[in-house]
Amino acid sequence: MMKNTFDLLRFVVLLFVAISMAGCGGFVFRTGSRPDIAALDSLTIGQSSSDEVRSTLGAPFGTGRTYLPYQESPQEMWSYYYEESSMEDGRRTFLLVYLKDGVYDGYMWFSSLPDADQPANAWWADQYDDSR
Amino acid sequence: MKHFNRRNLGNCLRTIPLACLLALGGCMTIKFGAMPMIDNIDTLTIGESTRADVVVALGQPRGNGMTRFSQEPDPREVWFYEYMESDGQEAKLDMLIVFMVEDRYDGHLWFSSLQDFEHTGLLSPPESLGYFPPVSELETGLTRGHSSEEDILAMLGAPTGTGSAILPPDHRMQSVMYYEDVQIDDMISTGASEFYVQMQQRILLVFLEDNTFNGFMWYANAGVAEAASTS
Repeated sequence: MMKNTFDLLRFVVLLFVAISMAGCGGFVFRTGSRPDIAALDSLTIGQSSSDEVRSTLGAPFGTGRTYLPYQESPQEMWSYYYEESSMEDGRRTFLLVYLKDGVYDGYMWFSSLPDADQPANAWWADQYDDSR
Repeated sequence: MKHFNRRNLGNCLRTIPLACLLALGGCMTIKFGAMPMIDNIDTLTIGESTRADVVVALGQPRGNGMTRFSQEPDPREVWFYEYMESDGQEAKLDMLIVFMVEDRYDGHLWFSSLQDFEHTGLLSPPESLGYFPPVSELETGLTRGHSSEEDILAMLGAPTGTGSAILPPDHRMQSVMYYEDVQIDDMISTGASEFYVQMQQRILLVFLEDNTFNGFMWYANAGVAEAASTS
């Protein structure tokens, strides 16, 4: 089996367990800030500059690089992240923004946080309501 | 206000699980989300399998999203599956992203630390904490289509987990090596009801096609996490 590796999730779980056992009541754990998904519509692939991306979405929570199988060369990537967790549940939103030579080149976002503004279609929203 | 820096945080973290285990008898398991039925992914067909087919094969998604990129500028719908479990000793993560176009399955990206490494043939990951591969060497030390799995392991070390991917637009099957590291740089307590944690999270996915290096994705997040009482 995989050897034990400390990570944030483990830390969060341990922190919550410790807090709960200490009789301190419920806690909510929040990380990052909720990205403005709707603002992506104001950016144009191949045209918007990295400065425009920053002014539109705010400063990224992190940065990185991608060289995905369909990409011809490595590119810059900015990450936006928000998480809410408790002892009962943990949910998060990821937004990854691709930049090519300093120009906006696309995005991928996905979220398990229930948010009326975020479901991409009514079908999924119905499914989510049914499964809650 | 009380600080727990990296030096004394280790003592704090050792104390917490000990207290938990004493209190809980080591029998408590916490689970978030639902494990996707990834073994059924091969039953799905690009461009043919419907939404209902995906739900039958993989289960209900826990979330959704969207993706656009220059090679395929039309938006793709994303379904998001996630699962985490911890027994107070370790946490394991399973994430699956499914791409949909015009209500049909269009590929996926899956990575997990819930794999049994004895079955993958990979080495066990390093036991030392705070390990993360040298991503600065990825673009100079590995060559697409040439570097082997052994080359990757020699440069990056053993992964935290594994996975697979079929990414649009080419839809070729990729295997995935998954690396993750989280460091807690500082923890501040402002009283019994609030904690602030200065943390770094680093994720790396390495893609292989036919056991040969075919790309990567990595990012490093850094910020403050907040734990606040709801009472």
